Amino acid sequence: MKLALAAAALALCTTQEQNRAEYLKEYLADTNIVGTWIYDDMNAGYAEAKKTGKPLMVVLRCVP
Amino acid sequence: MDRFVCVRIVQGWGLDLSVFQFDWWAAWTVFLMNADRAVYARYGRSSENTIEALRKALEGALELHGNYPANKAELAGKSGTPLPWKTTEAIPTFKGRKQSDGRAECIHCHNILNAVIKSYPGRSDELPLRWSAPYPVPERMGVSLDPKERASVTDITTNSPAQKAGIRVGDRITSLGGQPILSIADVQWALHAGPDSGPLKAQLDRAGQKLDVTVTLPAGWRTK
Repeated sequence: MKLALAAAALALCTTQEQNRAEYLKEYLADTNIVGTWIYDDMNAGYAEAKKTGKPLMVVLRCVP
Repeated sequence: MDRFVCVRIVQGWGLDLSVFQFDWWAAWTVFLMNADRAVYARYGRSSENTIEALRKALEGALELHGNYPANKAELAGKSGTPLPWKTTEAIPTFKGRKQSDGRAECIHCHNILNAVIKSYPGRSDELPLRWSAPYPVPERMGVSLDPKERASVTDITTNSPAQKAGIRVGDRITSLGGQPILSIADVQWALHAGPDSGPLKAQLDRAGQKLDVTVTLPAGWRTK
């Protein structure tokens, strides 16, 4: 039961993060972007860079 | 683009100030870095950002990444002198910022420099000169740089520190203050982190030849 609840919570968090990323993309009109972008999450960026061995390109641009 | 992990940061909350020190008044900035938080380059300034120069900075970052960690020591200067606060929201000016509905108010990048300047007197530290005149333009040392290139000299000011050091039009600045230079923003960063007066070492590429010069920055160069 506890395992099922934990799995559901994780799925919900992941969905919420995806929803937030999609919301930001739409709000910022980032509709013609090239490649995959991580939104507003440096920890996720560092983790992906470590996993893939790639460098990071971090764009800092405040929402107007 | 697929050779990089691309991250878009849309607000200033939670920024690690040991890493993300840059021209906070610029509307758009790029950090090229790695998972160890080692910075390869900064790109972006208040004016004259070009795709050509960004592409060249990206290519340079890939070269530096290929040589990491052997080049770790030369990249050390790309990180800033630690500020008194680790993250943006720790700066006293930002504490307790909330909107009328209780949500945390957005911290814009341009708020950060103002907050840093305002908070220093509260600590009874004299505001370091670099924060009263931050991110000097290359013209402060007497060079104008091509916005379509990394750091190629297009003009030299007569009697400037750059001219006295022997820098010429056509030279490409490849290193400044011991740091590799991939962009005009990198030059501004090296000047920002440089001495209030005194020598600043530079390496140039002059028609394929490497040349080491020393730029002597006079007292008051940041503001005169």
